[in-house]
Amino acid sequence: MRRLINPDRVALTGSILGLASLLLGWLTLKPNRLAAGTSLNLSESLGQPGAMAIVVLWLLCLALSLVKLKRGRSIGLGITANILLILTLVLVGLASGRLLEGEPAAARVSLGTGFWVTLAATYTVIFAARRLLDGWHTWQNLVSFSGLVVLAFLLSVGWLNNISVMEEFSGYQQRFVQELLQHMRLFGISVAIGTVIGIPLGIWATRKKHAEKPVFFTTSIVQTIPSLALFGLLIAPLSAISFAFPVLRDIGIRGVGITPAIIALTIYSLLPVVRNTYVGIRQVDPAAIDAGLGMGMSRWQVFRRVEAPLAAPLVLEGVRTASVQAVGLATVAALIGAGGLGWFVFRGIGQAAPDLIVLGAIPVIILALLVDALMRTIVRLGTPKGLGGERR
Amino acid sequence: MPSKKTRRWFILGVALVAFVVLIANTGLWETGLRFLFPGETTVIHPRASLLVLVWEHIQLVAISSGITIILGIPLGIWVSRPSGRDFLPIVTDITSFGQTFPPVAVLALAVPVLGFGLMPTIAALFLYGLLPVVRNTIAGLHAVPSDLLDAAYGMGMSRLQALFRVELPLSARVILAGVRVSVIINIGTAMIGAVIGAGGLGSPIIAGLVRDNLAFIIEGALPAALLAILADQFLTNIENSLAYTNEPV
Repeated sequence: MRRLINPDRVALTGSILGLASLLLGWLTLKPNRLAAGTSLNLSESLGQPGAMAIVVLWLLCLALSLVKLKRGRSIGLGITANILLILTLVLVGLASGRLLEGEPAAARVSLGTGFWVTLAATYTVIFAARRLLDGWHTWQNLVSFSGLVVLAFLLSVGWLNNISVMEEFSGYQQRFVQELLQHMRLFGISVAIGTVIGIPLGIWATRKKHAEKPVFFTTSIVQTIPSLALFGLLIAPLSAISFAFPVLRDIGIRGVGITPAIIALTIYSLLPVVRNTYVGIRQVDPAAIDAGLGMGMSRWQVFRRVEAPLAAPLVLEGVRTASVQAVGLATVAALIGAGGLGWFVFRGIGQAAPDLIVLGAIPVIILALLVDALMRTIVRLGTPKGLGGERR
Repeated sequence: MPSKKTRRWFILGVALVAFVVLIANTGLWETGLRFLFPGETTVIHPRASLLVLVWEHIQLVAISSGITIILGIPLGIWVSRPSGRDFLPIVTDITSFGQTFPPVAVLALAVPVLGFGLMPTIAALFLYGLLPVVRNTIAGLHAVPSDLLDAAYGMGMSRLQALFRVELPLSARVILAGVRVSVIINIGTAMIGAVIGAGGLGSPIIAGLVRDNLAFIIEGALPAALLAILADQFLTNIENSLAYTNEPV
């Protein structure tokens, strides 16, 4: 008996968390989008049979995390957690439609704490299963991503359209696309400018001893300034300039709006790019440079064919940091009238409409994760062969 | 002849006194802002004096960062001990994954869960601030060379003694760097907390943006920038004054 029991503590924590989440409020039925509403427990939300199925699945997870785990059982654990995730999503979609039947059109169903804690719990179990399946890549990916694929599918077919956030989305669909594009413009332009200025600054700092200190001092001081303060500090001088030169106003340069936003975001992008360019070039092995010079390369050729490729991964890593940071900071830019996904967040706060806040905040997080993943791929592609192994 | 370290502290002290004198001097702000923005009828945010606003801001950050440090460092230590090692992968995963989350989004999501005001702001600042502290605690402890630990055990130290007399002193700089990052992020995010009613230096800026009053914006933005720079320098000084260096590569 003892040989059979060998709990995996992470999976166990996840299972206990999952079972505990069943006691919390799952869905909230609200008479309109601003009202507080009544919280419903698991069986009120999903109905008896659905609730039973979820309880049974969590108990199965609990049992699986207690027994000694071989690969086969780890797969079982991963699959159970995924079924739980999918079943939860499907049932929540069904339940929201059922709860809204016979209610006035203004009524809303929103997701409660229990739902979110269950998501966190399934993630914990999936994480544990993923680790136990180390080396089995196919199963690892299947366990990690099948829930997400199903979520994307359910969203695309409109299964979750009765959930309040999605109802909010359907009311703002056009605006959403517009602000999403604006958000991407804001951080895209600023990171691009920041990179174009930052790389030469970083290189300059490696070449000239007297440049090093001022460059780092300024960029790091600026980095500590709170974003809202920097936006604020830019507004006054910019509006003074645009009043003095009406030409600038005509081309859209004003105190508030996109101009201060892009300037501030560019300034924030500088430090990661400059620092990583500096470190990237400094860490190039002097022997490699000597070898290049010894082969008869000119100083420029050494830079282009030895230093630049060897520094590239770190430089790109700096651009990644800058991009992820800029996605977040661009949200704040909505406060100074530059638009972007922050528009929904701050409008939601202004109207005390929680769903509108979520409609802005969740896409910002997803965008940050996507940009991070994209930039990681670019970093990998930009790493010269024979160098990749050492760094990761 | 004063050492470089003493000089740094001296300069910081002078800067700190100058900052307090500057923000306490409402008359100076009044005159300065009137001169810059002659068109505005009021140039000083009426809700509270600058001193009060700065104090509110410091309290907000001190409370949330305080909880972060009290919980974050032990958490980082625990997952680096044999008793918590099972949780190390998931904790490192969450801290690196979570740092991709924009702090503003975390603050925004605290509103539907906790409502408006001080509580959601403190909760969001605390949660987000945990990430760099936990991550650096783990990184710092892991960078301690294992032969040093072996030497400590060989000298007859218990695990606890080794932790407090070898591992923590050696990783203190890295941990403090995490605390600094966390505090600076919190100062910035706390500004936005003003939108949900947490007070602090964000409130004159928000009021200025709403009423189109540039003087209010400057009144909040300038002290906020100075506060962040001072806090950064203060924590950097503490880091530099620690005797041991053991930076992870």
